[in-house]
Amino acid sequence: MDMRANNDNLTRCHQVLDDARRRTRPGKVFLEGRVGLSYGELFDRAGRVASYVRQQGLGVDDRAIIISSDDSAVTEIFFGLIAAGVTAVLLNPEGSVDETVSLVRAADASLLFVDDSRFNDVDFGSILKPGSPVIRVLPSATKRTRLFARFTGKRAADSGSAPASYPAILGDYEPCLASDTPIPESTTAYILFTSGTTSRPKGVEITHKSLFAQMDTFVTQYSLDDRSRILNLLPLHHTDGLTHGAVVSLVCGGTLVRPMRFRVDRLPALLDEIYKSRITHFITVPSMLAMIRQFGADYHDAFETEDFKFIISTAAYLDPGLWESLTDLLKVRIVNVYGLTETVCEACYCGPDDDSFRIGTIGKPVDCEVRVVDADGNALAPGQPGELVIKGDNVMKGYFRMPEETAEVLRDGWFHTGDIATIDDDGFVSIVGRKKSVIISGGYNVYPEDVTNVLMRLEGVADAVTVGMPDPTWGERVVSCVIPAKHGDLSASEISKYMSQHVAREKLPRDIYLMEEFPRGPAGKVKLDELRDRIRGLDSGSAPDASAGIADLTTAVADIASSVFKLPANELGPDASPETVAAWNSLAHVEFLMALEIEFGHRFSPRDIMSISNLGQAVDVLQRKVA
Amino acid sequence: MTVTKLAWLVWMAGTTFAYWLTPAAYRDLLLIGVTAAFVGVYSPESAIILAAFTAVTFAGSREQRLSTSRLLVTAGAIVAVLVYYKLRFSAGDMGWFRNVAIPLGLSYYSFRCIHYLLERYKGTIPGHDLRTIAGYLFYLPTLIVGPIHRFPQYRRDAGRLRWDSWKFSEGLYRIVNGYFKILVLAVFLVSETLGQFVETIVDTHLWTATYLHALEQTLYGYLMFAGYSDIAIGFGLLLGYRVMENFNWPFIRRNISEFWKSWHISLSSWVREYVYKTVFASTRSAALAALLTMLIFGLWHEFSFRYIAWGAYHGLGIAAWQWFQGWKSSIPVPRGGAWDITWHAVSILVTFHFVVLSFVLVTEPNLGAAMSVYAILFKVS
Repeated sequence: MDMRANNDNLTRCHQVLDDARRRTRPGKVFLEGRVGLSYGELFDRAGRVASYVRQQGLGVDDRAIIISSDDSAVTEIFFGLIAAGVTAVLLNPEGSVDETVSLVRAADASLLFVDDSRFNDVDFGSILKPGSPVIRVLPSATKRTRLFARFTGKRAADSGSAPASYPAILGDYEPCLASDTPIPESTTAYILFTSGTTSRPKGVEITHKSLFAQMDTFVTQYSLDDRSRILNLLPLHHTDGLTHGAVVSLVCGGTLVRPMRFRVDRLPALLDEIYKSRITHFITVPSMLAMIRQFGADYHDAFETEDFKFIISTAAYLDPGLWESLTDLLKVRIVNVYGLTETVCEACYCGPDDDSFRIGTIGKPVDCEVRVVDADGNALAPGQPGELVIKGDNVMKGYFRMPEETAEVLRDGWFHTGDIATIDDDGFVSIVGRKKSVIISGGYNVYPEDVTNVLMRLEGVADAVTVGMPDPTWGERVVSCVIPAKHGDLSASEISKYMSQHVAREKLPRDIYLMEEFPRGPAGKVKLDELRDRIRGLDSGSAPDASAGIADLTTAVADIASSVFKLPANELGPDASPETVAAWNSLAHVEFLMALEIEFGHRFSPRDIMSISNLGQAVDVLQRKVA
Repeated sequence: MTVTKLAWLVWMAGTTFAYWLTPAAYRDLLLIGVTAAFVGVYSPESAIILAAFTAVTFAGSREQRLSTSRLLVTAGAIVAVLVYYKLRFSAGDMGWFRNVAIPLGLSYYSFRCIHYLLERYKGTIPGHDLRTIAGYLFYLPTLIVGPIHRFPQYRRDAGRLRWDSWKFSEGLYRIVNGYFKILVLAVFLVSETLGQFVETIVDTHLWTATYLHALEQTLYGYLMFAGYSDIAIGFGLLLGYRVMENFNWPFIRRNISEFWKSWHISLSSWVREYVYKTVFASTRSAALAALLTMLIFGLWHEFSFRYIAWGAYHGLGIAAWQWFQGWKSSIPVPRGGAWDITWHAVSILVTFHFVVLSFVLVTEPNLGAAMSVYAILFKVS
């Protein structure tokens, strides 16, 4: 590995990589997941990527795009690019074709790495800078074979006119992370786009200085070191997955654990992974925490391990009720952090230390300044609500090639977040509202305009509006209202099908309402609050809110159980069973079932009765019967 | 093969050692192999049955949602084999607690198979591959004398398996505890010391000797079985698994219902879950459900009149207790302070003796002998 002997002469990026290399054994696991990656492999491949891009004549002010769902490839390429001073642009590997084309064009890049499965979606060569290479990223399972073939002189994959593939292209290059040419700290390390399908997508430029300043904060704030094992399943094309996962793991010399892609049915396996893999930090989003509360009642022992330090909740508002109940259930501290892609990742931290911990707040700023200001930019007194602004090394350079939009949010070094906040006398910051229209659903930022613009392109749509509605699991859900064109016969299911082909999964409207008109103000602008009221009316009038129904049913079942088992209802959770409730004997079980039958007017079948072994199962059976 | 043989210690130590030396991805296969070898050595017939049951359970549960007919066929086949062997061996002169079931472990693993099938039928667990099902059934720690551990807990522990020194330490403690219960408490104190004392007074104090003998038999059975369970739980912990508890201070329970939630828990909860609920769902009679449940509980131990009597005794006892619950609040008894303590103590004593008297039925060689004991205890001439 070529790395300069004197660490002091290295630029920050190379210092970080060099420190990590010195502190870790080559065999130590950097990425533990579906495909593992050791530090030795990471440095080797990232070094070859750096050599490759240098040989291509790329450096500072050049951009290379990564569109891949292969964690191993993304991290190798990312570190290789930034080591060579090339700006990494990470795009959603599951983005729609329209979104991908729009963002690739906007990035104006000189190199593109794309998953083999998406290689033929678009003629990428035509939307990059002329002559830019497009490299297929092969699934990790086949990488070693190809690399081995390359080393042994068998060049089957890249011979002739076949497109270049990763990692086969690395075979000809020596690993070299360091460079003779220093990389200025003001160099953009990466660009992440915060909106997709609008005509002018916003790409957040984060410099090397900002990135590593944020990493220093993470390491100190979370007490990270080379024993840290960070579980983070958030996508790597988001800052919460990239910086809070891959980059910080490398900086502290720890291990990033990504054993699976998250799905609700994998929640038990995920929780068991925390125990099994001796996780120290679990970085997640409130929607996942809501699912843990809902489905993970039996899994509180996942955190009963001396290795575990705390959960870090990021990317969206953490409801205090969820926060408190989950803390009680899991008996672990949940650190709530606040930040935006524009501040690398985070700015305020509620915990882990007691001094900055107060449930319901986002804690206090760390390594940056925050203020609450009025419309003229004047700082407000404690308790006064106003826009939250942030200043510090973690603030972005700007929006890529968007000086006006940058100037709008970056004024005198202060970044205007668009969030309405208060700061109390003790310095605790609380988010109380939002100035901009972004919908935060499951930790993803969804811009309603993006969704609406796609809707408007559908033939038969006369007008459309997209709003966020409160959701107990996702925080907010995307809801679109559509006015069909006259004489059209457009249905909600047709619209839904169309949208699923044109927007990424997180932007897909969960509900689509067909309306004859929208409530509008005098200037013709849609009155969003009234529209939301109308949606609430439609929600309650048509299909009942499933979650509210479950809550009512759960309460009713707990009340009946309370009277039968002679225990307070609040002590009877979904996992209450004969094993946990002393008075739940065979006779009481019979009484309980009969009381449920009388109360709900349904007779249980033998299969139903056999299925009820705890309160949660009683609710499930009743729910099926009611449905 | 019993757990008090030296060879069992060798199997436990060797399995544990090999288990942790094996890469994590293959440990379940190692345990399947070791269990197969163990059963093959000590009871080849059982090895064949266990393999066949595993295949039947796997094949029977492959449907997305297990149908009633398929459940009846698969579970029925397993029950038929179990009944056949129970009938065949019921003539043997085995002590009531030593029902280790011939073929080795059959009573336990057949109930595990039925449990798995019924949970699949209820839809509480998804289907699994053969390796997973075999891992659950070919599980050496609980093979010989239970507990009848449940699949969901097994699966969870398999999914979160890691080396934990506290588990290992706890496992060793439970094993030592188990052997202490068996060798010191059950064999030395109860069977030898108390037994010899009973022998010395039987001619002079017949009632006292008979009463103490009944106590001796009950305590001996409890300590032996609790000791076996401790060893199984401890062995499970050595391998990183938490096996369900089988006893929870059963002799300090205030009524027979509480007793059956704390005695042989893995079996009592099994029959409550799958027999009691099923009978109740069909008949809507809690008393009939209790009676049939306890009859099956008795027959699980042995196909004999004495165990039918024992099951009926407890079934009727539970039904009577259920009936008593309906009108006990109308009995004018003093409450509060010392009275509550007194009622509590009386309840425990009554429940304990109800249980002791029940075990006379199965510890005596036949019903006639049991009746003779009752005649002495109740001074019926």
